[in-house]
Amino acid sequence: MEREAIELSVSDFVGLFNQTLDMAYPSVTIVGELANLRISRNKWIYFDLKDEAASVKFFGSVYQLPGPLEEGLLIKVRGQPRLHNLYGFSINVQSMQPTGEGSIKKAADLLKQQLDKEGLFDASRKRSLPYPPQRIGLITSKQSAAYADFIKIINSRWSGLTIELIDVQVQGEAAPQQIITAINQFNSDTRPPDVLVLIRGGGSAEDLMAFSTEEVTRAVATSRVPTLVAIGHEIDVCLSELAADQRASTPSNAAELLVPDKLSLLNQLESLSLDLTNITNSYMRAAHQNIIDLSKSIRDNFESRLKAAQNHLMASSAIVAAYNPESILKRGYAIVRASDGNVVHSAKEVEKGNLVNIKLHKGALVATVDKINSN
Amino acid sequence: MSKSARTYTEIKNELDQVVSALQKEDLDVEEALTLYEQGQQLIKELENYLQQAENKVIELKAKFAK
Repeated sequence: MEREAIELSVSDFVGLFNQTLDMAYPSVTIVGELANLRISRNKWIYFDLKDEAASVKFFGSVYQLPGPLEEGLLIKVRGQPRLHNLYGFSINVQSMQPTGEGSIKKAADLLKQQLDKEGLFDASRKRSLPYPPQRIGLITSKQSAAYADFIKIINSRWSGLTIELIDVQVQGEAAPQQIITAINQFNSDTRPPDVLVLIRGGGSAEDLMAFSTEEVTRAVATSRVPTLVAIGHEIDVCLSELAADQRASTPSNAAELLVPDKLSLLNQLESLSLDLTNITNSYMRAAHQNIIDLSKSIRDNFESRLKAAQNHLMASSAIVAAYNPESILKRGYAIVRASDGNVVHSAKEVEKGNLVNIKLHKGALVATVDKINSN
Repeated sequence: MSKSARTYTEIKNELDQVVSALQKEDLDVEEALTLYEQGQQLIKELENYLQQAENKVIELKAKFAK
């Protein structure tokens, strides 16, 4: 017997249908090509995902957009199927992200252009990292090889560091939100670390995608604490790397950029210690030499003064000697004195027949004046 | 890291000052000697820091349920 069809009102049907959907598909993940993306009142988004045979409508908010998107991108959406009492069937978006190598790259390029225009990647925004840092805020997955490599190299290169780790998922849907929470947690610290380091090992485009989402890229760009980001291998460049103050090619390279190598520093200290000794020795020698020079110059000074004094003495004694009558007589002069003993200076002082006394260099003469010529 | 323990950078800055002071021309012998000893002592302090100070890793409680 055919069961009697239950008659439902339209709304009852919608209610019942949605209940069935909730039980059957509390949440469903669908992958398809993006089409007819529409943003209304800068708040709501409507789009379709389609493949060659079918197309389904989606409804969500602009905050769920992983960044600017483009027709034809392959998108993976998790959402709740819903029959709207007026607008028919659609899926309410819970999260959405590009999927597949091509679309991920394409979406990242679109986002890059947009953020580039905003100046998020400008070199002028880049701050230099403290070198060496004292406290590092590390955001990565504790179980990852990247973390192990980073710590190994940091320990081999430097000492006395405090590394504060926040263990996050580095891929998958929950990753972006956890990374942002970690960045904000460090930034809101009353005494934030000197540098924030985000690292992740290699992986597929999908694995690395969290570090190219708009929200993570903006969080890195607007971090008060200077940032260093090293995601994947050398060739992988994620948007958060471009937005960071410093990019490293790999987690190990990140460690090398962050801290000096203590071995080379220890050598430098050794040679500095030698330099110090040399400088000081040269001082000592210079000081010593200085003393020698000083004493020498004093001696020289003294001697020259002495000599000057001697010369002076000789000169004056020579002068004295010059006035010494003896030396005059020696040169053939004679001193004539009148009988009264006075020295005769002029012929007028004597008359013919006077007696005069003539003192010579050797001996003396007594003579009478027999002729005067008074020219 | 206790407050009193000086950071590498603090010790290094002081050493840089000592070295530049030592390179000044008009330094008298007395000053040169004290600066010399100071410099060597700071170098020792840096060497100890590099050889002994441990790196510490502290895991912070994240504000999200992992």
